Amino acid sequence: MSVRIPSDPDKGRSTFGDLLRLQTEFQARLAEETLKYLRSIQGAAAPASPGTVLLTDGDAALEASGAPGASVLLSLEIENRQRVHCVVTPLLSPLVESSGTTWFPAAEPEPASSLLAPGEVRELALRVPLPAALPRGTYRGALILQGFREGGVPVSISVKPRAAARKRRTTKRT
Amino acid sequence: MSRPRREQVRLVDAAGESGRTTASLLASLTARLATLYLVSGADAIGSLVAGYAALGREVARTAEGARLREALESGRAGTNGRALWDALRIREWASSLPPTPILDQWRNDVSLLLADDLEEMLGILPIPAETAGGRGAVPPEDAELTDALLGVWAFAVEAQRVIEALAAPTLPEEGLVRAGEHAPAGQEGSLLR
Repeated sequence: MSVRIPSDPDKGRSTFGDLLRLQTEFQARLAEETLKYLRSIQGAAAPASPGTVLLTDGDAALEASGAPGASVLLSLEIENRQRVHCVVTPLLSPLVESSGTTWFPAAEPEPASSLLAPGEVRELALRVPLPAALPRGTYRGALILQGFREGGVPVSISVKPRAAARKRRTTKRT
Repeated sequence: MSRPRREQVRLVDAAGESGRTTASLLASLTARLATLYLVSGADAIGSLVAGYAALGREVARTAEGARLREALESGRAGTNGRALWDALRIREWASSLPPTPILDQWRNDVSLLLADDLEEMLGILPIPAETAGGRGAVPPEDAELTDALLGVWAFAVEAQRVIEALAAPTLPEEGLVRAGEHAPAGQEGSLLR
């Protein structure tokens, strides 16, 4: 009896070998998809964890303007309409200018996290320092309340040259 | 510093759900504890890892989270972490499991600690719990190490702040000295006296 060993393995591949490979791949894929299906069933059968949704008025937006090197203050009033306490942790998203400049603001929320009793209304303030090197323009992003399923409040911060910002404040006063 | 006008937002229950009440939160907690007897340790821990990764992905959308994520990814921790994650196939394991909504669960459990009708609700146990249903069937997403680390960070920071807020109303002053009625036993103990 002689056994031929081909130098090119592809040349010697039989139809049976191809079928075996296909069958193995099919079984592996089937096992993977079955596992995924069972995991999603497990997820759907898991106990629900009631959450919180942020509800804003349609046109709610936080706007501020200032000169590089100064700070702006974003202020938001939050009312807990749920029947139990809520934890609120405000965070700012990166702010983007139309030219493509992205600013990662070092916002300082006060308080950083709040425990709101049912029916309680509390004011959240975010001091946002404007870096001295920040190019002028209008930066847009969102104030996000961490962990809430939906929503965010649009934020828009206009960065103007120091003289323009001072002139604007003077005009407002007169 | 400029002072813009103040906007108002409201925190409400999600539409189509029973909402957050002491009863529903208690039912969720008891159901979670009961579920632990039905799932393997690997599934429970894998779901927690997936939950931290899901929270990390959310936090990575914020300015502070994005900075942290970038730093973690570019440092040695990121390189070694990815090597571990790949070699031990942690990504495959955690990504295949439904993520635990860890922040919701934590906040709900904290709310129970502050509920004024908890004793009354404990008296009517067992309360049937709702299942996650359609909400539980989230499309699978890769559980990356940096996201999981970011999730742990966000969770830990909030947990610390909330625990401090819980203790704040009854927190004794720092450096407080209390005069005791009985002097404490010395180091040698009462037997050797």
